[in-house]
Amino acid sequence: MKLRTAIFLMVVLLLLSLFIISSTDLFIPREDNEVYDISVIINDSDGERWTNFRSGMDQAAKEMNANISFVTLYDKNSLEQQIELLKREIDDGADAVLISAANSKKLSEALNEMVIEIPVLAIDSKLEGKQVKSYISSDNFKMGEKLGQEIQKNAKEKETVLILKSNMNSSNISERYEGLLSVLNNSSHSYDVLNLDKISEKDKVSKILLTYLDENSPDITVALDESTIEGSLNAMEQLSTEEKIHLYGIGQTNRIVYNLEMENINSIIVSNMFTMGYLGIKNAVDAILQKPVKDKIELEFGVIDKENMYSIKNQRLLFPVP
Amino acid sequence: MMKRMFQNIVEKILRTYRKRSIRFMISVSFSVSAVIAMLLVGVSLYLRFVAQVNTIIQEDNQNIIEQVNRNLDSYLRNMMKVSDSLYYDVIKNVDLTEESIYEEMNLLYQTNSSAIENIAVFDKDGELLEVVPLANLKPSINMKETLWFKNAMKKTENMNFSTPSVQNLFYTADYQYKWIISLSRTIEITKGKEIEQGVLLIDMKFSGIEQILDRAKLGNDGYVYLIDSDGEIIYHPRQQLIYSDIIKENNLIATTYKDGNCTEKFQGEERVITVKTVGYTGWKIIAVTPQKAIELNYIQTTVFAMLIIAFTIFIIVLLNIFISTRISDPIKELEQSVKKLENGYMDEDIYIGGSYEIEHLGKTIRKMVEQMKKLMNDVVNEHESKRKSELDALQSQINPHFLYNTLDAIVWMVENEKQSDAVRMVTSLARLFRISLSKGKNIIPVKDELEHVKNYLLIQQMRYKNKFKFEVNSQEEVNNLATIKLVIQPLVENAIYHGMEFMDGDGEITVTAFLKEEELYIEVRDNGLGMPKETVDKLLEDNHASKGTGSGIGLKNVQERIQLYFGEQYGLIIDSEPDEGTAITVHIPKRQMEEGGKV
Repeated sequence: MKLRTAIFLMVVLLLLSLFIISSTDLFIPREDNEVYDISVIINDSDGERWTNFRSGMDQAAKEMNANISFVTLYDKNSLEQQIELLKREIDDGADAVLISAANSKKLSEALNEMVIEIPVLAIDSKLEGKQVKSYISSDNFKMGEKLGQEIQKNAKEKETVLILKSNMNSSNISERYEGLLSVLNNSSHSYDVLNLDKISEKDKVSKILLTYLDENSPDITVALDESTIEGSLNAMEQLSTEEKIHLYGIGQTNRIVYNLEMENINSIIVSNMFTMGYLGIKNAVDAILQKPVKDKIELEFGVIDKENMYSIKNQRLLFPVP
Repeated sequence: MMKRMFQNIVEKILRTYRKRSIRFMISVSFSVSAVIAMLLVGVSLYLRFVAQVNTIIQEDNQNIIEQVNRNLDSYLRNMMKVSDSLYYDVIKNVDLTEESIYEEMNLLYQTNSSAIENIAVFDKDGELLEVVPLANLKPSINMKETLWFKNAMKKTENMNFSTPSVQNLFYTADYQYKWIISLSRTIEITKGKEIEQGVLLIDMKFSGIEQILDRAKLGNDGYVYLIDSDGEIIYHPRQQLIYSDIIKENNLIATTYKDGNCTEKFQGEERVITVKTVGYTGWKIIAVTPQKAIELNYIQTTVFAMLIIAFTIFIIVLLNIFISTRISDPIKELEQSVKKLENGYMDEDIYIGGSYEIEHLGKTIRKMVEQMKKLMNDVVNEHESKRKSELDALQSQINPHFLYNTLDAIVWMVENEKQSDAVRMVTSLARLFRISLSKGKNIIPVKDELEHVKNYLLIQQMRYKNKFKFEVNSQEEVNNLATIKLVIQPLVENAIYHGMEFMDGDGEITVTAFLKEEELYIEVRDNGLGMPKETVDKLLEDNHASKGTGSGIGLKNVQERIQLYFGEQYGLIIDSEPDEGTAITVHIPKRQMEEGGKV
């Protein structure tokens, strides 16, 4: 009888405990209410070109319960600052980091030397390393190509081109440059390259350009990123209408779009930054949860000019619904 | 055919059921009925619950959509009212070449500036006539090619709502680009003497609609979106994702839904849909609740239900054990005891226990067993006695001593030439022995028994040289009644040897057989010395066969035999007075002689 009583008691206990557990939430496969801390380190000192990105980022943050730190640099294109900020964010407890690299090669090396246990995602510019789970960007080479084709389409034969070569350390800029050259080299257009190096301040760019324009008269000017475009716009404000240059560029800010509409810029190539922000955060959360993440995500881009900017497709690309 | 099979199965089950033990039947019946009851209750409750949950969600959704609809409706109506009052109160019948409508337009705009981006009036060629707030028209826009203009001109009776787009007519400060929904209609404008058509445009801020729909909070991972009559999305909580082709929505199919609830399957998932059409615009509000989220609710309930079931089964098992202990097991024990009894273990202790009824049964069976044992003993004893008595009686049929003595007497008579005495004695002896044997029967007629005793008396009289006289009488009706043989002779023997011994020729022995109150009495009376009470008692005690004197059977034997055959109420009645005499009476029932000498 003793054994029987023992079994009896055990079963009673088991049932009681199951009963208690079931009335709590332990039993139910409920979604985790965990919050993920994600840091986004960009390669700019302001967020002007990142407005659409932030819309996408915020949408994803809401859906996936993520807390986002959006970190800007003091100085654009500073590798050192990026490394420092990366360390700081990791120390502050980031669960994942998105980086738009100022210097793709050197930052990849630095990553390899650091002990990083959280997933890193590359946006815009490439990064290599085993911690880099994904690269989210439009095909920069193709964008450069497309720009070249656009120039070919609009420009008259044999018109000269000035290429403003900005920070080639970022893979996005260098790839765009390569893409552009691949078209121009097979075209009737001759081109000149004005090396801006790491200079990105609009006023400085403007000065350099104006100095160049004192000596030269290119028919077309090409800028490979937003700060260069805006620097060129600054320069154009100093010029008279006869001296106006035909500006083509890759990138988007509100001012750029406005000037596109005002016909100060002929065409721009625009990447879907909203998607970059959304998918960036989504994939970061997936990487945190150790779900499979595509290692390369290619975003769409569009060729925008004054005529087509308000088409249904393009207005959605340029102006994400808030 | 099916019915037959079914009947067969039922019969089989019932048969098996009947053959089984009580414990099995109770267990099975109880368990089966409990399980069935529980299942019935459980399943029906669960189904109700599921239905309820779905209904509640649908009602909930409907309430929320109703609310959204009300808000949206009043918002749109407000806009339409602005358009109307602008038209009818401000523009109509005002000669635009003479008067300016700017002030009134501005007033209307200001009072609604949170919802309105701009208000503009155009003529039939698309020329801008007035705009509030003041803004510069972007050059090179062909108004007549815009969708809102064309739609307004197409349906002159109606107000037209466009799908959301970016405002691109007027320059804004700070490079702003705003999403708007255009509300346009045709109006009549007075230009001098001419009345011509124009278009009144109100650009509604998209954020206005957004706010109304954003407020709708559905539980269970649900959401609300808005489509126009063609199925184009006007508002969706993940609108830009749809525009960027990151996700898809089932909006085109949703256009076909009627107001109310339905379910759809989209991208492999079941969803509960509630639809409400907004008045005038034909827009539809769609509420979506994924079935999976609802089912999560079920899981908790299901787990709970399983627990209850497990618990109930546990209780059932407990009860089964309890019933077993109190009822089936005791019955089984009792049955085992009885089985042993059947097999002859009379000393087996009957089980007492279990519920009161079973205890009672046990006790009763015990008593019965005791009685049985006792009766069996009695029967055995009785048989023993009978056997012994008969053995004795058998023995007495031929008593050697009596025979020797009588033969001696006969020899003496023959030697002394007393032939006639010898003949008499031989004849009596022969008769006596014939009746003694009676062909082996135990029951003989009374007259034979009397004959027997008469012959005995004759012989004894001769041997004792007429020391006594005797008489044998019987009533007519008793002669053919039945009696056991050799009951009177021992009495006479007793009378001779106790009574006649000391009588000098005055001894008298009378044997009388008579009926009294339908009972048969055979009395042997002598007038001898009589016996004191102690001797009387002793007569019936030992089996003292008076040796060498007669049959050798004692009175005890007679008494025993009578009682064995006829019962204890019969037997010998001894009545003796010292010096007076003794009467010993055989008392037996009145029985007729039947065939075979049986009584």
